[in-house]
Amino acid sequence: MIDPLVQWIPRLGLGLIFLLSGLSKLLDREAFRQGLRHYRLLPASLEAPVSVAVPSLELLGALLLLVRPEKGGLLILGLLALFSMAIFWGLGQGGGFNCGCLGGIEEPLSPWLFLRNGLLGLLAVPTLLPATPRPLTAADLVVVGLGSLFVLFAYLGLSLLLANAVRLSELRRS
Amino acid sequence: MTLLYVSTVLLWIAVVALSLLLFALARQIGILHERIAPLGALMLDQGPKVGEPAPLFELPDILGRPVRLGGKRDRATLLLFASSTCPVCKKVLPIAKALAREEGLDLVMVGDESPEALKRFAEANGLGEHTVINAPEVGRSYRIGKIPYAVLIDREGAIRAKGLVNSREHLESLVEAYRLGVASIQDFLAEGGKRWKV
Repeated sequence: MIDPLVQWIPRLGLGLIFLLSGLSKLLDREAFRQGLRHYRLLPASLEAPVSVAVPSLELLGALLLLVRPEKGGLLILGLLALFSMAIFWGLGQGGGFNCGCLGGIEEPLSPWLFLRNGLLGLLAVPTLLPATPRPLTAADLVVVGLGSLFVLFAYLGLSLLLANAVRLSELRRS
Repeated sequence: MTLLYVSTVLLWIAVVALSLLLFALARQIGILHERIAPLGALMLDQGPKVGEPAPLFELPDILGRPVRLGGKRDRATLLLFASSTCPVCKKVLPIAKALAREEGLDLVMVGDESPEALKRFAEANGLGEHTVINAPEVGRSYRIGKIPYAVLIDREGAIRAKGLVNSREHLESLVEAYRLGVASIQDFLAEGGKRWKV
């Protein structure tokens, strides 16, 4: 049993992250399709359906986290495992391309992305655990709102720092 | 209890503000990376050196008009080695045209392919007022291995700057190197590093 706050903050934070991730891919579908092509994982005929299916599943995961946290958490863990395998494959192919994790946003493929996916996976764990039933006060709601925003911004900041780290090492080599 | 509530909420506000600041800072670093890398046109150390006279050529352009490369001229010349099959060349051409206009340079595009393809490429990219020549021998004399490659020749016919040019910054760096009197921006930075510890 965990306190509802410990469950709600990662639950809402993860929901926001996957909402953003899904929307960024759906709004710039062409960029995401090209991102998929770099992985050389799918036949050309499957690129179009997968480029819609992946962000749709991400949005579904974000929605399920709100209404059915265990199902949403499991779906997101599954997606993270799938993404990690794709990244592993991409790195095996030599890497050097945009990960496509956030649509067209520039994020070079690197082993650091496993760390990021691992952290996101850890965030999904509290959604699978039962929470102590206790009424949420107004202060709880404020803390949940601010805490989930913190999770979102920390994720975005970490993603940018990882992208910068790859660029910095390229600059050092040049 | 009120104190605890208030201070917790205030701390959370501070945490969110700090994470926003971290995000903004990382974004700014990302933009800086985009702007600075790589530094100036990459000079591949082959062919005639900067400061040496440019090889002399007298040959016809794609329209059959005689063209003279090297030697004394009224204006400085920007030689651009490019091809109709390279996508970066298409991106760099309009930039080279604009730079030639701004700086008062004669732009000469040098190709190494079939004259028909080069003619079509010149028409499609509005190179009408500039000179286009199809001359593999010019590319060989400058030992061009990668394109788009640009060479800046001054009015006296001496090579002033050269390098692989993939962007506006690279092309401008050639003109800058010429003005500063260094062979390439890399040389300038290397010298600056010794003198001023940049």
